[in-house]
Amino acid sequence: MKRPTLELKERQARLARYRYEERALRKGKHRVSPENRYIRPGEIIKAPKSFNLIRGAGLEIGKFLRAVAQTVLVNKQQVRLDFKNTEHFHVPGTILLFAELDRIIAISELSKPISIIDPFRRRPREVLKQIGIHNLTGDRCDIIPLREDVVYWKATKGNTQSGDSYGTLVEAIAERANRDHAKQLEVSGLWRSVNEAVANSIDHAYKKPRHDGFEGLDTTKWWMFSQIKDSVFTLAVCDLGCGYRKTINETIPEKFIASIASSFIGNNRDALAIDTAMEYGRSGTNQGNRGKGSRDVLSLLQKHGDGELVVLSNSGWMRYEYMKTKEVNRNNGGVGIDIGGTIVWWKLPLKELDHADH
Amino acid sequence: MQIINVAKDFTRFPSGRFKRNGETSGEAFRERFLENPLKEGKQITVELDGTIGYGSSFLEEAFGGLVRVLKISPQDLKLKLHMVSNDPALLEEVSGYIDDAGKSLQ
Repeated sequence: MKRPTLELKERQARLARYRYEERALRKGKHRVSPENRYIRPGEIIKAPKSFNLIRGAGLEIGKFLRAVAQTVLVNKQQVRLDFKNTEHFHVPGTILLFAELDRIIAISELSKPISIIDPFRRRPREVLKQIGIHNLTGDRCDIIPLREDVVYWKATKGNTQSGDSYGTLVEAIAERANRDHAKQLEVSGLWRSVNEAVANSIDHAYKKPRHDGFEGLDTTKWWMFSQIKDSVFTLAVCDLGCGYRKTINETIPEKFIASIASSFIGNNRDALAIDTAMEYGRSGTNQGNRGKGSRDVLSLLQKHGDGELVVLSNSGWMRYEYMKTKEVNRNNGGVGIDIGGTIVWWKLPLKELDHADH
Repeated sequence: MQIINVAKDFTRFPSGRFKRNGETSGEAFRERFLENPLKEGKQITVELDGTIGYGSSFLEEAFGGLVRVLKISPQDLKLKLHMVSNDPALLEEVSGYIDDAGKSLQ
């Protein structure tokens, strides 16, 4: 066989390259050299591994959300949020993420301010899809949430306290919980608590600007999440307002605030403000027609018998735990950063607890 | 005697205090169904059952608000306004709001 000349080798290579490119074109794929490859605009911001505001990741989540707001709203640049390494979504951190992204997208003048890079793991990817983060950002995600602990996440939002906007959702999730579980949720008690949390968001949260000067959106004032997982019913209401500490002086007498402060164990001033509002609501000493809402927020635990209420506001949180209609534990702590809002989060077991275990 | 069923005549999802924040609020209910008939001296029966539930803001503004707006004593109001419910705690709560509103007027 005749040995190919250099010229022939080059010709064959040219032909092979041409045929490869033709094949790629027919398949709709263009071969682009790395230097000419299109890079989507926007700075990449890495999302935290865990969205748990209470156990350790609060500072990280707060910094992440501030970085997104700063880049989009102040620097007016598009961002890509990198969730590749995100593994866990907990209710308070996730509702805050949902609310903040919604706020930033609503305010931004950019055409597509935020894009997301999906998590590697299937479960967190399903969670983002299920709660509607892709709908917010306008990104495509073909995954269909299937996991039992994901499909019951429901998200909604609103700008009034009109019951028609979220009443059917509350009723539907309560019905679902009661259909599948032994311990029944009392719908009127659930309504009373959720209703007051929403009313607080509308009436008090946006009276004053929060730390970054944000004064509220006309289109959305509150965001709500519900979830049923491992026989535990969870519901959270979030606002992006100024927090308890800035408004309690308007509804609660100074003397009462001082009396709670004197017996408060802890050093977080936001946690103290939350506890003061809760104590004022249930003390029955409140005068006039205001300040009763906090009692309603706690009343769900008393009616259900067992469960937890966690209230996060700005940089602090309070946790109330009930068992057999009595408060058995109350603790508080700090998030490490001002989250710029308030989250009220109920966790109610839907099966009878073995109280001997506690 | 005028009978008002909150669930049928107003909403199944009563919520909130002021009507500026929602059409299903206590203030909206009070203005639409209670104030004018009471001003005209009519007797009213309010049936509370059938809704999903009530928050204290709604109840206080709807019924405690009557004392403030109409400048009427709790005793006189209770003679004209009758509450019906299968839940005695709810009736007691509404009565408490009316009494509290009376105290704040004094």
